[in-house]
Amino acid sequence: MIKLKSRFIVVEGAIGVGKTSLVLLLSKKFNAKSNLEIVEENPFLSKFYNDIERYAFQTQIFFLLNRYKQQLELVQQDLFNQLIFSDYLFAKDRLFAHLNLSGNELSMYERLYEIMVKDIPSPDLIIYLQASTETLMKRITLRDRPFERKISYEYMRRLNLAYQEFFSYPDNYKKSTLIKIDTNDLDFVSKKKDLEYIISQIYKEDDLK
Amino acid sequence: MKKFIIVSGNIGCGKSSLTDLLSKRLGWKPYYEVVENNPYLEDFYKDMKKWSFHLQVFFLSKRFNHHQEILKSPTSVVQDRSIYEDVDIFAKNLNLQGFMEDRDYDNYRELFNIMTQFLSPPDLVVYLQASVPTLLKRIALRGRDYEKTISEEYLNQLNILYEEWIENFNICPILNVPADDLDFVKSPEHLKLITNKILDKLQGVEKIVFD
Repeated sequence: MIKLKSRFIVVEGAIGVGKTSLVLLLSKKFNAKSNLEIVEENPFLSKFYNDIERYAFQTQIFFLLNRYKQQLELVQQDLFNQLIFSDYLFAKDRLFAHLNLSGNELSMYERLYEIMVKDIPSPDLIIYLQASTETLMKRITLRDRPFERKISYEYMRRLNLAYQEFFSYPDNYKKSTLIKIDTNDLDFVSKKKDLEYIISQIYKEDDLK
Repeated sequence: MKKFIIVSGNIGCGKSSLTDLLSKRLGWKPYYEVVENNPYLEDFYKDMKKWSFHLQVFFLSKRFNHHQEILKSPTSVVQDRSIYEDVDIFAKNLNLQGFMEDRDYDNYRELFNIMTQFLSPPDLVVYLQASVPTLLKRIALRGRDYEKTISEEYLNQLNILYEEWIENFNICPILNVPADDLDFVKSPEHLKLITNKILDKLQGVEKIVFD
């Protein structure tokens, strides 16, 4: 493999799009480190999807804190010498917050987010995996995580829209190069040529800003 | 050099009075506790378990801004009650009383720790230590309506948490003031004693008195 110039690459996209699978495949290919989001540990998560309104704020704060801590650990690692793939962007936290919170809860959240975001490193490359809401629902059903069974089509549709909106504003990722990949007809987990396609896209955009 | 000190202690120990007197005597800017409209207060009293997390996070974010404002102030400041008391006294008490679930409390604590790491500590905490009878006497004396229901038991519980807190507090130097014996409101002598002690502490003077 030809070495990449990028040091910190993030794979993003809605729930079920295949972020973690791709990060694992890529870090193996490039002999890089992977930084995966810890999802299962959130003690509010299973309750959250049952009653989003009641537990949204606690769940959001829990995620915010954990993502913040994990991102700080990333900074402390050697981002200059070590290539790292991550399966989430810190700004994702805010994207979800806007989906789940409103009013006072949202303004409290914003105040906390603003304080924390100052310490967060920006990736060199962002790979945004796109898929239709139908495709996402299919993939979620397929992987069958117990706490995801309650996710509704409507919630996924709104989430998908929020992602599209987020990545349509370059201001949201100014320090990074964005690669959009339509994954509706891709199966990079079992098809080698699909993974090769994504890798070719990475090489094409691999240039430090 | 600009100084920032905080007056801490249980309800009724004389925090606001001392803040007021010190600010006049030293010519420093006083900052009183903002009991700004917390939008969760009403819900909280209806269902404490459900809203205690929101209530505390709201206080935290407000007090955080306040603390930052103080740090930016060009003049020396004396503040009535600190952000640090929120977590170790009031949230902890809610948790102990069963009004805040463990995971909410842990979540809040974690948030508190991360937020406060951004704050520069004060130069000194003046801790007013008073017994429950003294607290009750002073609360009755000032006759605030909403404090009439405060029980001896509640004050006692908070006093225990205050003692624990101050014992483990290591963010900045502390001046312990025995508020049962010192009446700085009535006695100018006592106020002078405390003021001098504060100034000594801030200048790092530690005298050995041999008598």
